[in-house]
Amino acid sequence: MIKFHNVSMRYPSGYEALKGVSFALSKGSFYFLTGHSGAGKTSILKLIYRAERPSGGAVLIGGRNVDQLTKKQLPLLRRSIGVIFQDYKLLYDRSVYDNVALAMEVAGQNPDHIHGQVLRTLESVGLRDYTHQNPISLSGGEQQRVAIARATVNRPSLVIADEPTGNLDREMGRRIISLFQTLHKQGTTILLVTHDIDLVKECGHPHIEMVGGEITKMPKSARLSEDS
Amino acid sequence: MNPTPDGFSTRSLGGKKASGRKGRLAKKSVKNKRPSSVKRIKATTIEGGKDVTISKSFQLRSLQRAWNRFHAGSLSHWTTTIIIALSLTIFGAFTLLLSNANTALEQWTGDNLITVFLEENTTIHQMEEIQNRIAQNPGVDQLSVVSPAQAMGRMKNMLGSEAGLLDNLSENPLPYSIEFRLHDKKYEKTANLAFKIGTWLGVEAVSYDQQWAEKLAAVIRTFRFVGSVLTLLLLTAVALIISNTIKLTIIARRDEVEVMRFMGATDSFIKTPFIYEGVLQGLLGAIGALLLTSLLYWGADGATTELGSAFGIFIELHYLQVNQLLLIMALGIFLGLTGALISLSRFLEI
Repeated sequence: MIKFHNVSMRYPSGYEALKGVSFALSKGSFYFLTGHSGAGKTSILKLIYRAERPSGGAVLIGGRNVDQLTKKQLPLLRRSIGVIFQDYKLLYDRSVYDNVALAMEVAGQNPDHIHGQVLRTLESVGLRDYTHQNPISLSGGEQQRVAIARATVNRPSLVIADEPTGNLDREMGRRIISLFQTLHKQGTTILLVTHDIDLVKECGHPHIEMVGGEITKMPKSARLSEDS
Repeated sequence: MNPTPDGFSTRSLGGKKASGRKGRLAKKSVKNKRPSSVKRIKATTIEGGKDVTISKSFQLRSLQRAWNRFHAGSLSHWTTTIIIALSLTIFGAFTLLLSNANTALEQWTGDNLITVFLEENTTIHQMEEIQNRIAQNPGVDQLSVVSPAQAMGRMKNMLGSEAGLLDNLSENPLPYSIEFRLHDKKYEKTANLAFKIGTWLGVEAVSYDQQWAEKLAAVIRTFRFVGSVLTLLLLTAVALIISNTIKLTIIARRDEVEVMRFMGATDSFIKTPFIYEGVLQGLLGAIGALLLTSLLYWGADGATTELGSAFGIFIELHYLQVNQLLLIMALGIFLGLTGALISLSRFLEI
């Protein structure tokens, strides 16, 4: 599903965020990506949905080199990935419903299909009664759930989340993780970035650890084999 | 909805009922394996992706949001709309002025008397031939020959008490002339016929009442040229102002653009709302311009009627024609569209 071949990344400022990173995540897997601030976790996510481009190596999603996608192919890649941002990136000029519906409109879904699917997804994250509210009036946990609903309403095959529990208390963090586990059970590949080691241990899912732009620890299942 | 103790629904993400443990944190690792009991839902994959056409509901919503921004009273939007309205009003006023001046030229209601002065050595036979040729033209009326003596008599009548000045002339210098009137009082027809007769053998010169109209036509041509250049400059400035307003909107909504981009929105999908905003500004500006032009028209109509009655003439202004109204509307939309496109091409990196 996701393969990083000796990927390095340098920002225009000269800062080297990633140094020869290699790993492979299989379809339907659930991984955590851990490390302190500046370890390169967010950079990895940005390379996956091509918000940034690698300065060396190759990033493959579903067998395709992300860096070589054309301008027409890029939206198709992004529609297959549900991205959850640390700061939610919700749109505060519209309702919860409209925020979630936008993801389906972007994907060109049938308008008749959008209404039912948005309501079902909001129901699944416990926000069915908040459809007409503006997200700004919601708590951090609720806003995170709106972000999850928006990222998953199109049933993407891959969901990546940047510190989805970073701004939440432990109990709400657990609830949010349970939503990702539900997704995982449905077959979605999940990659969650976090610096909360306790939460990772509690969940029991494998994790890849990063320090200073390099992978320092990862399970065998995530190692890139010689022939891949 | 069937909430769990932690407040979330038992319905799975993606809209299907989830099986297995719901809403609870898993205690054991699933070791990257999906439980066999979980039904695989159809996922959106890059391989299965399709190109997107923008749905009507999204277009309507974009249009509604563009309108809402106006309704909410965004200062930059209203300022731009007012500038468009004023600029198009200047264009409308020019159009109104030139259109009425043209009508005045076409509908000249004077006598439309044409006088053909003959050369000194013209024979009677040539004079008769010229008369016949003139009479063959449609709409010619009251065709008559004026002898030098008759012409001198008229001149003396015109001079009145000063007529004695002509008594000192040794001989009558006035030539034979032919006079006639044209039913069709359109300026161009009169001018064309006068020019044609002027080229005939035996004709010295042709004069007609509407020669003043030639001067008016020249003034109108100058006005049209100056008006066109001014309008072009003005509309270019307006397009740039709209472009700047859209640029500010793009900056204000960069979060929305970024979110849509990372969701997989196409260029056209992201650009559509901004284009609607530009077009809406242009359209509202054009409507404002039509209202202002109407006010100008009513004001000018009253003033010219008063002026006309003071000089004993009837002046009636007419309002813009339907095609001219449509032109102003189309210009407004075109300006909005152009401004939006300029801005999008320069400031929206997708």
